[in-house]
Amino acid sequence: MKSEDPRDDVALLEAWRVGDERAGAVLFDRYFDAMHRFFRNKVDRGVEDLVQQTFLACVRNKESFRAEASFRTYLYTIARSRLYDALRKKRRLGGETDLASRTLAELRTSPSTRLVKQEEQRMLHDALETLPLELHLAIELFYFEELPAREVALALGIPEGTVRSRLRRALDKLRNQLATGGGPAARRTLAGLDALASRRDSEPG
Amino acid sequence: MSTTPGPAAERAVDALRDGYFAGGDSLEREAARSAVRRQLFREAGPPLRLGRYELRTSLGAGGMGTVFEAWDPELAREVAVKVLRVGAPRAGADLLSEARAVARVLHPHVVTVFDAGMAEDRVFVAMQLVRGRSLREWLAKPRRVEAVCAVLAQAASGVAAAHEAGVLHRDLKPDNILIAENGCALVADFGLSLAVDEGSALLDGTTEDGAVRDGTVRAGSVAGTPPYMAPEQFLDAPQDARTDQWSFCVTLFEALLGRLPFEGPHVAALREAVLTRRPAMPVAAASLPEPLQAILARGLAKDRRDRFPNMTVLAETLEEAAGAIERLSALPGEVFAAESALGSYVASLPTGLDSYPESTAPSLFPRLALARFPARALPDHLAPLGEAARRGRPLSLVHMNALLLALHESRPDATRFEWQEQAADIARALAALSFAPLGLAPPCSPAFVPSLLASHARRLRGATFTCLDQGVGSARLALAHPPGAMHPIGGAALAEVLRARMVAAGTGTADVRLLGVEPERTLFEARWTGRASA
Repeated sequence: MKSEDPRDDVALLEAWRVGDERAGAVLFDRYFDAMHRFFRNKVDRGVEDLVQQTFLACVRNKESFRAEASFRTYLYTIARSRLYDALRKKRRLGGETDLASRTLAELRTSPSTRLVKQEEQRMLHDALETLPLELHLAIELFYFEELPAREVALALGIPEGTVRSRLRRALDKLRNQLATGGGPAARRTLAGLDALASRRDSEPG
Repeated sequence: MSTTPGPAAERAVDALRDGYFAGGDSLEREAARSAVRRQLFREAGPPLRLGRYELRTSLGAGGMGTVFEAWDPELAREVAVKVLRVGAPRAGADLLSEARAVARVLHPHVVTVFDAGMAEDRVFVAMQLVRGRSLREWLAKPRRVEAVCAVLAQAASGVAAAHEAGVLHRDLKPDNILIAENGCALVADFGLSLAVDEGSALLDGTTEDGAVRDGTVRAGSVAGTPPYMAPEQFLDAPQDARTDQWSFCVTLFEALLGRLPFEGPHVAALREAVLTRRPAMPVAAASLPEPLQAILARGLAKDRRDRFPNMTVLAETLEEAAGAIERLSALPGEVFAAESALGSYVASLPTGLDSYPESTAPSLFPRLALARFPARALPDHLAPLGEAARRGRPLSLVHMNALLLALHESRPDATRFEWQEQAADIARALAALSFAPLGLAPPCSPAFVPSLLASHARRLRGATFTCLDQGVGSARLALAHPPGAMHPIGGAALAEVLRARMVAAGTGTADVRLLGVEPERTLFEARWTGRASA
């Protein structure tokens, strides 16, 4: 399903916005996996709906596309606001409720049932769920999706300097969380996380 | 943090990244891709197929695999297709024979299995598509004890039917009992715990972190979900239909009391509790109707031989208990007794707020109300009060008020009985009083105060007070109203309100008694000291 279309994301988006469904489909195939990844760990059901809403919002230009951001970052911006809306709706929280400081562990209404083969990955997943959402998303976008810090800042709607301090805070919390778990799997997870952090932090960016 | 990562760390990074990117089921992702694509673009690709089934959206993923809403083009019907993760090939074969056995069970409270097979190296089971939610989701809202018993009695009859056909469930839990949109309970996933990947987690304490999770796990030849597993499952001892009984009763316990009978921070502790301890009875258990306590005690007997002879007997006993509770709660005499007890109590309240010490009020009424609701109907901050009331500890009016109101507000649809509504009225009336002289803050948010006596106000619309006779410091008042509009409890509450109004209007002390409720008028006697302004 990998697209061979030479046009860049912005050109495809513009074509899709004026009715070129083929361009839209190319764009969709480029980013579906990332969007599916983004939602699948965070909501118990309705992943498809959220992915669909995210793509629809970008083609309907409901949320303005900021020229300094990449299309991918723009998608994450929309995805984050859709995610917050969905979590609010599920817990019947008011629109003004600040979700950034809540954790997925407290927002979930049922225990997470994810298919995870790797013990390390499960531990990381569980530890991430105990982080406030803003830290959780920062870790995911920066260390796993490898968005540059500037783009993470745009996607989360915070200053770039804040991203760095947030990542440090998030890593500290994750380390504490994993350290209390004990056991060899927790140690391996911790080692992996530290290696990932030092690898990523040594890159320019 | 700047140390050069060694090869072990590199491997750990790769494991984390692989898990992150490849985690989840690829079939689930592809089904989602095709579903969203179809929604977004007219030119949708071909549907995602597994065997003859067209997979549509994923209904959820669990420890055993992913369930899809699917279309069976041959029989032109919607089905649910569960695609299982199978560890060993042998498990796949076991699973298929198990699924074929389940397919012979046709029962209104069992999810019907239509078909099972292998396609693209995956074992799948096609079954009846049930629109609704799991028992666990259903229980997220407070439910009446009768309603909980009714759905679980249905589920029990389904399990009994499967047992008669020689099929064990092996993994009963609130996630495997579905409540259809019409309120009917259906038991799902018979025997599917066989599909659990043998490598995924081990139970005998070798799980590295030893955490008790809700996922299905396998230990040796045994699979199950730890909090619901019977002693014989932990011991890897022979199991039979009575093993399902245990898991069923853990589910029943959880559904009625809002917590698990056996808990532990890790599997070893849980195992210890299951093997040696009695169920951890929350305080709410004391108010559970006796027949239900007896069912739980018998179903959770450590020795299988002490449990019910079979699931059919358990199902029948539960059904009887549910019926008895229903009859009991519908008994007008009981209701009336509760009402008049409270009515005369309220009517006999002593004068003056300062004469209400902290704990003189009997707690009969909240106890009656609490007995009808699961413990979790109360918000956390009121749970200790609920506990005190259940123990029969006398409560102050403030506390009683808070309890009744919380119960009422947690179940606005539960006003099956007049007395509940009356209780809410009283709660509101009392909340409107000033508790400042007692040094107490109002027990609940003041937001409901404007709705003081709202329901009575509706019924009493057009009612008028007349003063029958007035002396020095006393008066007899009559409230004329439509026939039958006043209830003794409402009358008592109204007396309280009148008294509060008099105090608020500047009398020194005031006392308003309910003299009597007649069909078309209600009589009060008011006494006061100081300036009279009633």
